[in-house]
Amino acid sequence: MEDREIIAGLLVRDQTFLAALQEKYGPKLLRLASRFLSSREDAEEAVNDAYFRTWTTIPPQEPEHLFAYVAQLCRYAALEKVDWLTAKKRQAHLVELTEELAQCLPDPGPEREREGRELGEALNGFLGTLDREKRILFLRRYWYGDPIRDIAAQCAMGESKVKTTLFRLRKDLKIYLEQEGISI
Amino acid sequence: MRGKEMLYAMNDVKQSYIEETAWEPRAGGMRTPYLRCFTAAACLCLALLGALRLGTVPGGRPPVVEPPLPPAVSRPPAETLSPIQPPEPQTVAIHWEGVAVNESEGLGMDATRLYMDPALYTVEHWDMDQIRDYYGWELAPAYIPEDLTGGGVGVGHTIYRDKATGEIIEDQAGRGFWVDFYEDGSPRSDDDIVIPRGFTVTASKLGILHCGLLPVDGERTTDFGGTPVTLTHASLPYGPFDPTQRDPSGLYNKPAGYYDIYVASFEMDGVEYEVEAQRMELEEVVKIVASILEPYEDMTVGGE
Repeated sequence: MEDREIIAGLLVRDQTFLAALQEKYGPKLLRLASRFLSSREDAEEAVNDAYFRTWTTIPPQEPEHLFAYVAQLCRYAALEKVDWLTAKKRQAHLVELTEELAQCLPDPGPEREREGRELGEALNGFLGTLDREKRILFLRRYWYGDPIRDIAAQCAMGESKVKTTLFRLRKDLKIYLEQEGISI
Repeated sequence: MRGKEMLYAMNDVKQSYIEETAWEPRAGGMRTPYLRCFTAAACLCLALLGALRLGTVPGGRPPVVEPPLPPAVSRPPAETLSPIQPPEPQTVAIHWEGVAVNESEGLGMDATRLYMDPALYTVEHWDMDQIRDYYGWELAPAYIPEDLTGGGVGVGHTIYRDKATGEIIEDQAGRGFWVDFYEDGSPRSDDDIVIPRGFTVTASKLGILHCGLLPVDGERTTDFGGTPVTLTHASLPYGPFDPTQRDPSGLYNKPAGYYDIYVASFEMDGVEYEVEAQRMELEEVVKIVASILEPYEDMTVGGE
């Protein structure tokens, strides 16, 4: 079923279109949630949260990109479920991701603290400066949480090339954020 | 935990970027643009190829008799092919005296794309997992020259199925590897020659409907470790074209220069493959084909 049909069905509060959404994107959402949550039950719960939030926000929302909209809700739900205090002990993958991303942040300055949303806006600005290939690498790694191996497979690159490109992108992002005056 | 804040901040990334980076083809999305680029050119010779198969060729050329194929090369289980990454780089010994390259004048010009009536055929867009299930691998060779990449886009695949019988009637899938890409994913040159350097790998179990080049003379094959491969070459002009001067034939405006296209056609495990490379060396094309046919073993090309 086309995305626009599902959105139209959700807008008129027809629950069968929620089932259509599940059928179309369920496996992808579960895969996304599983990148951040080690337990399958937690991941399924995050996906269900995403469906619930989709149901309660459309309408009034009428997303242009249905998958991206639900995936954002799913990712957020998954991150909310992460037990950050114990995550380090059990999720090497998550630790790897957060440590890599921490390298992008400039040193914290006392007067330049900003809210996360401003950081998000700056990230969008940075992503807009990248060509498509680099943007895909960056987002597959840090938005979807894909392992390097999978990204290399999808992009038909060597793993070392993916790592090198991501390393350079993190450095570039750090410089970009510094220029934007952002520190956390 | 500053990395954690970044992970959360990433959630505010524009939805258009998220959609752009979703691997699976979206509803309405057809082949990848760069694949479409090649397909558009290649499909021009569809009718001529059809005529070849029927045994009658415009111009009276006799039908080509395919040499008998050796037993199919067995490949490792699909789960080990993600992508093909042999532990050691493959060594390819090329005996150039045994390498037969058929010359071609270029692309056929008098064919049209088959029209698939939506009343009779359904269109399906397969994702990477379905491709892997169907073809057994992801169409990314073990050997890809260092300067080429897939541009972040996976396999482009649209299949057509007969509504009445459910039977697949077109199953062609392809993947491109280029030196650079435009924002929309189509291939881009990285120098002052407009033709980008790169190659595509196309596969079909039902038979490839599109051919890149048509050989002028008889079709000769080259032995790739026991598998016959048809190599064809053409030298094609690229622009800009100077309207004040003529090319050597005297028929056309003088091009800025000429570039090479090689096409390698072969069959493996009952699947037809075509590797189409432009602005690449023959040796690179040979290595790509060798790495598809037998990624885990060294290979001799051109006979012992």
